[in-house]
Amino acid sequence: MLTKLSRYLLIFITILVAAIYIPKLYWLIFGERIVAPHASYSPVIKKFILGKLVGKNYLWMDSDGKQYTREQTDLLLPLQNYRLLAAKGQMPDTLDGIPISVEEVRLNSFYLRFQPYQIGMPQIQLFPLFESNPPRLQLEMPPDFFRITGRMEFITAESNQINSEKTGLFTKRLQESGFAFPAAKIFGNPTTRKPFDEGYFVVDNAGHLYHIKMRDGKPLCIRTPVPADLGIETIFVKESNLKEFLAVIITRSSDVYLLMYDRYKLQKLPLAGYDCKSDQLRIVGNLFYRILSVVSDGRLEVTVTDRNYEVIDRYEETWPTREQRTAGLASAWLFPFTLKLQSGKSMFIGFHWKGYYWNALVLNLALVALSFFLYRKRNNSTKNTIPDRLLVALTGLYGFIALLIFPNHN
Amino acid sequence: MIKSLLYKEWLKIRWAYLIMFGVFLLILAKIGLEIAYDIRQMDANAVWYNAVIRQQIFYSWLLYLPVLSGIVIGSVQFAPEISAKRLKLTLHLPLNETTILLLMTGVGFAALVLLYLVACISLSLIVLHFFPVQVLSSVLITALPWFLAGLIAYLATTMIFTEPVWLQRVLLMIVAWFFLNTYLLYSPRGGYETYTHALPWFILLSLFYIISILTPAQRFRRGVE
Repeated sequence: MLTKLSRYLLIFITILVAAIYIPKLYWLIFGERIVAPHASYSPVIKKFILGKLVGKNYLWMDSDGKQYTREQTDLLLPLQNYRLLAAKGQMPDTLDGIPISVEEVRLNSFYLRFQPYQIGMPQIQLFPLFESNPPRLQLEMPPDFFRITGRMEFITAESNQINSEKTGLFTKRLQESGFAFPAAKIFGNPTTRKPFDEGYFVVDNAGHLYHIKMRDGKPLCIRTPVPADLGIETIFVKESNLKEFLAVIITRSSDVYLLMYDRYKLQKLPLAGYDCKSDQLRIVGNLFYRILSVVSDGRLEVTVTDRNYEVIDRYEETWPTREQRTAGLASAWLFPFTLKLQSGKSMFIGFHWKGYYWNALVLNLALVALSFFLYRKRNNSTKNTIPDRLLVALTGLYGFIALLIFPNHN
Repeated sequence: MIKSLLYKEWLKIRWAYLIMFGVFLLILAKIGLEIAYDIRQMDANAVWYNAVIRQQIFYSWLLYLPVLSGIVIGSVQFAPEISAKRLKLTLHLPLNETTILLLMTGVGFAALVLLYLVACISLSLIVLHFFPVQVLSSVLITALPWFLAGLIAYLATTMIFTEPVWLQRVLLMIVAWFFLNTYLLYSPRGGYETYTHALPWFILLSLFYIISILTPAQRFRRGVE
């Protein structure tokens, strides 16, 4: 009995391993490069400009399909190619009758990209709080890290001891502003490679969003008017000299808001079809527009807005995904299901199951017939091999391999 | 009878076991000394920043060590049984064969669990000396699959030694290799705690090998060539 169980456990492991690594090998051999198109918006012709990989060539065209050379494209997108155009002396002085300067264009340009794996990634709940008014101008790594449990505790790295003075100071300030301990979520941008520091955004135990900073060694704690029922999934704090917004908030229902400098107002982005768990979001800003791109498997949705986030135009394009191309369609005849442990969309390891592909039943049944033949040779009784054959019928190639490795001796 | 069987198994593994104990302690000492050295060389807050924010795995030397110890203990315990088919004699003891085999692997398994526990406790003491408790929980979550892989490696080794046919052994090695691989994956972008959500499943799956030795033992008994 135990021996029988032992064999089936091993068969299960083999099927599991096969379902992970055989499709992996398959894609290693047949996987082709799929590059999502890239879209910008031209302030010159007021049309989307697309960059696409066609065959081996990268082509530029507008949304009507008219093609441009790379040099022509540069001129159509002066707000994003300003460095290049300025160096060549081709930067226009006015756009749409509005005088522009390179300095102004530079200040108003930003590029933010949020990948699905960045949302809910593992993070040890210890953070460095920077001095936001550094005496020597440059941001410096503080000697301590904080955590917000029953208090806001600062732990000095050198001694690994709690700095009780600083802890008391900040805890008191947080209590005064009504903070409900412990913190539910803490978001910041813990790097010294940024122009200045805006500290941390912390969701407290009651769901309120607080802005916590240190200025001249003193705590700043502001309860923002962001509603507690917004359902914050994540916040990306993005300090920028433009000083339009402090952070980007993504909610559990994949709504995206900019948290504005102006009294912490929320500016909702007019996105179409964004799912933060699976899609990439790009927010490109320039002097005239905001270009919001959502890239998912096989689909690009771009929205261009003016500086007040009013929609000007939208563009959508789809292309066949890996699964929809020849190799993908063929794979559904080979593998009844596939398993992946790692996904480009999450930092975590998980069991990403795909299937069941009924097409594979053809191969499965052929393998069952083949196993009949093998068992006939070994003189196994039919009754004992029924579970084995059922297994092959269900798991196909994987089950067949498992049976070859762990033959039935009953 | 059982007592002397257990004692015999202990006699086979004791030297290798003590050596593996030593190797673990040396590697742990290296990890501790390296943190202390880095703190002297580049300030403690930079070391914390690397460990907490940049997600560097400062204990990555432990990644393959449990697997290595599992293979070593499994080999010293079962290689002697296979040479000149001594396992045949062992299986002729007046005890149920399944009991004998599971007692044998039980000895190695328990010895490894003890070794891993001591290693984890020592690692915890080292981590807590330099870092807050939040880092410790992250370290333990990150390293737990590596230790599970060690137990699987041991069980797979005993199974592979017991298997009588060479071709079959190679196949068992391939399956075990890929299965172990699933416990030792690094996140594509580096980083800690990647197994957090899947950990219960991986713990469950590691139990699947616990009686694996019975399958090749059955073939061994039948004299499959």
